[in-house]
Amino acid sequence: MTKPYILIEDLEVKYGNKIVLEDIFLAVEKGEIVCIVGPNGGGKTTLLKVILGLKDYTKGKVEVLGKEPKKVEKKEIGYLPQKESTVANFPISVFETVLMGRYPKIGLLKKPTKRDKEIALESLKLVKMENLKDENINKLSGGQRQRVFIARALAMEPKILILDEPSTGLDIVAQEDFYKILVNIRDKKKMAILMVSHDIGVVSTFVDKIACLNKTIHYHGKSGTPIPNEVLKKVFGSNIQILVHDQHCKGCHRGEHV
Amino acid sequence: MFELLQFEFVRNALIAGTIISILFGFLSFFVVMKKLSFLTVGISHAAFGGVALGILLGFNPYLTAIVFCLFTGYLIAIHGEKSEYDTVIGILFAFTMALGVIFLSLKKEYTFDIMSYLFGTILGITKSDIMLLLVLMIAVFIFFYLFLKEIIFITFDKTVAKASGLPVSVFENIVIAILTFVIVFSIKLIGIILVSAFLIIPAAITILFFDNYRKVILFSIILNVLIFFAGFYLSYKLNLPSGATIVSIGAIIYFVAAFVSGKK
Repeated sequence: MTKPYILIEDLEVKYGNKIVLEDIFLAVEKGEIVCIVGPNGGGKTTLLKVILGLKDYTKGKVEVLGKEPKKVEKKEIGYLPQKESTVANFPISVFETVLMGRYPKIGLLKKPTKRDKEIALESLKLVKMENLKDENINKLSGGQRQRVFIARALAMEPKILILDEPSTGLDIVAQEDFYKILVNIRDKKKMAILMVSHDIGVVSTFVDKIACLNKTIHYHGKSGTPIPNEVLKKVFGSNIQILVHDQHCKGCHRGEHV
Repeated sequence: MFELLQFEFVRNALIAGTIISILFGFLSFFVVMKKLSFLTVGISHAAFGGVALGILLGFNPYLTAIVFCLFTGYLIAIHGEKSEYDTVIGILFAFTMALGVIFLSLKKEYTFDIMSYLFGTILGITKSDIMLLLVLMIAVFIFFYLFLKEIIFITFDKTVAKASGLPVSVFENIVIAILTFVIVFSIKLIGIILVSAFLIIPAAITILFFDNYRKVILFSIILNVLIFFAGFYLSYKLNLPSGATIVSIGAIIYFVAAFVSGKK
């Protein structure tokens, strides 16, 4: 059996003396989508930072592509931050934005080749945005922009895709479209996709595995199987009825009503 | 106007003004996009402290201004790693000006014309100033030609550029150093008070009309050269201070453009 692309065992992370993550065990295999859900402040982004090599940990083992996170080549991991980090009103086209994903691979002092441009275009096709390739990025909707940024991450041809709250700001229809695109990417590119979300609604029907995180991982199981109620209570508190609304509603998304 | 060209100091002023207009027009896009306007104000005003130190110690004020501004730029850069630039610039801006006032007060037999540093002495430009500006412009263009794609990525999306493995801090610090040199070498022409406006106005105007960064950069350069020549001509015709006239024309064009484009 091949090694998981991301393997975390007995992880503990502190900010100063405060433990923010403990007893974390998690494995993300090649070709699967894993979603970490949990409340705000539950340590989701911190866990991503550890995997990205941006935060040190105090205990345990973390292996990304078989290496210590800090030793992994950054271009092996495509990353989409929680808050859109681009400069507002930057005058650039969709295609040029996606081509940026090639820059770390191209290296310093070299210009993009025809092949780089082909890869950028292929990435745009994967997220179904090729028709808008010459459009200014500022003229797109939130969902379209999110897809362009996914395409930019894909253009880097990473082995792992990490998405921090990718559905924030998207309406339910745009969220569904977005997750379908992720499933398509997983199937075509066979990469490991790890994302975090504070919402376990729509996302649970599209991913392969769900892990519930609030300081520690309370549950780690296959999507589609109900998350035990006591786990949801531990992770989210008492408001969980709203959050689990379509937890069991497979086939309930747009166009697939029974 | 053309009869003026027979004077060498006028020719020098026009050549230096053209070089600075091109350089500032080019850098303006990055200053506006990265919201570095206040940084350019901070660095240019630090030059006041540097000039005053030079006067006090009896050194060439431009040399002390360069050292002073580079040090200020360095402090801003290392602080900017940890938090926003605004706070440290706000403090350094006041501190370096305060130091300048203290240095000047210590110089008892002070007869120096500080106004020429504050507002520029465009007709005092020499051939060696032009050579210095030319070398600076070529160096800046070579740097940007070699690393344009990385600088565009970092300007557009610093977080993802960093996560992709680009040496973001190195590039950012080089850009701050470039801005520092460009500002200090332009003080003689435009002055400490006005120099930052020359670095902000062109892209602030062109960004209103173009949605491609190459066009924004190209037209910022063209516009800046036109603003310089229009301001220089008007200042001669109306007998007004040249630096102030140039900046005023730029500012008026900006407000008209913002009104016309309907974006502001």
